[in-house]
Amino acid sequence: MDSTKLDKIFKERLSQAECAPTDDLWQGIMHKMAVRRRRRIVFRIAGGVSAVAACLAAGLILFRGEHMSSDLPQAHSPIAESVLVEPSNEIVDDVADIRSQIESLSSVMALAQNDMPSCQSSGSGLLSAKDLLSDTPSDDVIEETQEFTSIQQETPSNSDATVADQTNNVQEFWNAIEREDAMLNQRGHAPVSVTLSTSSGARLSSVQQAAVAAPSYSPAFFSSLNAPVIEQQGDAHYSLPLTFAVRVGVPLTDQLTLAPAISYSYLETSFDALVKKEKFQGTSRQLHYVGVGLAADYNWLSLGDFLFYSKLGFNAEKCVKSRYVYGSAQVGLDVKGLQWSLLAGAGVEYKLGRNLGIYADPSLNYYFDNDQPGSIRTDHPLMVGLELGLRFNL
Amino acid sequence: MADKFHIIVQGCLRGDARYQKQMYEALAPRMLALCRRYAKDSEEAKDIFQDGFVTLFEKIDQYKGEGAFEGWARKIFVRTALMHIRKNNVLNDAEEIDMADLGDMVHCNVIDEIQTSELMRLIDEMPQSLKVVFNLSVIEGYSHVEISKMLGVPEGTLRSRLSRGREWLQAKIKIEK
Repeated sequence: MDSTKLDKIFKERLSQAECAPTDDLWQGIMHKMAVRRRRRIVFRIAGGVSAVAACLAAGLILFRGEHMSSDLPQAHSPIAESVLVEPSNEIVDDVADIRSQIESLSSVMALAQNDMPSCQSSGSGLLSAKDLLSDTPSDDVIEETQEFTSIQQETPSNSDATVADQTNNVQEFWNAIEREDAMLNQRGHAPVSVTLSTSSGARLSSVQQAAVAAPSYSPAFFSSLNAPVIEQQGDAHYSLPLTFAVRVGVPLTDQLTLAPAISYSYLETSFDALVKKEKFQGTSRQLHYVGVGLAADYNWLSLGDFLFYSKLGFNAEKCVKSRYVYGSAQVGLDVKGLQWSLLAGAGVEYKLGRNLGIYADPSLNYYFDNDQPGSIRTDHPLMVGLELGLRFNL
Repeated sequence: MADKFHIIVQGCLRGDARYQKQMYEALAPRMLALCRRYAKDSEEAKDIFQDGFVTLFEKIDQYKGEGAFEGWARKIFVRTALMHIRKNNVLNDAEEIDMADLGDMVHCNVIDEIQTSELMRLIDEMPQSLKVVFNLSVIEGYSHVEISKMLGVPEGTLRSRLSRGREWLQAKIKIEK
């Protein structure tokens, strides 16, 4: 039999052959579609949760220094002590005065005890003085002592009032110290806490190239008086900035999509620094930004599961964490204001599903001068960036 | 017919179940016959048939309106059938085919008189590795290069299987003059 004729017969008869489907087949199709729809929803939720979890995990890894204070040297470490804020001369003089007044008060008290050896007072110091006496005091002495005591209680002299005030001041001073110690104990005995303590003079810029930061190890009323100055020496070295973003695409037309986004960025700068006349090599300035953005995407080519587009938009980012690490010490700094930036670029998206895609956005970013801490963005406002992310198309 | 499918496709793109049902009714008989030709039994044919429609509804946005919609739909069903066959790993197996054990023969005076149902039965009984290649090459009209890429089998092996498939069919058809 000729194979060509055989092929022709089979092609003609079977290519248009029909079989009658049973009724249950359509129900089966509907069921399978419902199952796949549920799987897609679960997959999208899992994808979104994974993306957020990945961002959080990355953030936690980078933020871990917040809770690493126990690894830092204790207060007696020379390095740690170099970070501590020393009290000003004025306060030291005040404390010295108070100490001399305490000593004079003690001598006055001792004289009083010598003068009133048999006084029946509830004061523990006088009772102990009484124990030192071997003889019973005379009635005259008792009367004199009572008179002296009543005079002291009713009409204290000017010098006594001053001494009492100073005693109260000293007591308040030590109470304040104890309160500070109690607070530090609650924080886990952090020798150098990385909790941010805002200093009124704390300000950074690429021009100033020096930072004033105040660690909160010392009592609160000291921290604003004499913060360590971190002075940059030489050139800075910038690590590659990292940004994690989740975008939501809202199609306005077939080709135009509005894409709001949430992003997290990490910037790190290394430089040699001079802190309290001590040089620290490899001092690190770490900045963590969380931002929102809005971009308009114009889709200009679709090839299979790939979508090519251009985009134009802006970002507003808030520095949520700023930290300096030098030697074994680290200090933080509050950063005010927002970092605004414009972006323009082209991107490619790979569709993982009908409404879910993974994308890469090479873009040109311009960062405005918004008085932010020095970083690659402030020193090089015009930057080329590459953003990777997941896009959920609604 | 083209306009009818155009309207149905637009409805399916919106996810409208009524248009999906219309699409099903228009394509189901021919697509079920296609699935029967690739499957090893009727149960597998039903699975391929249902998965093919689910895939078609999910990917209908990829139909660009170029060419007949039914031709595009057939490709979807063929790919779905090949995915099922790959799961059974029968494409790369060196199947031992006993040409002497042919079972029931088809008797006819001339080949043109053979009924379609008889041809379907012959394809159904054909060894799986030969059947797939014969279907793709002879009935669907794919080139050897295309089939080689689809199945991941060398072209030489395809030619051999196609030749053996034809021999198997010729041996099954007994023309009584």
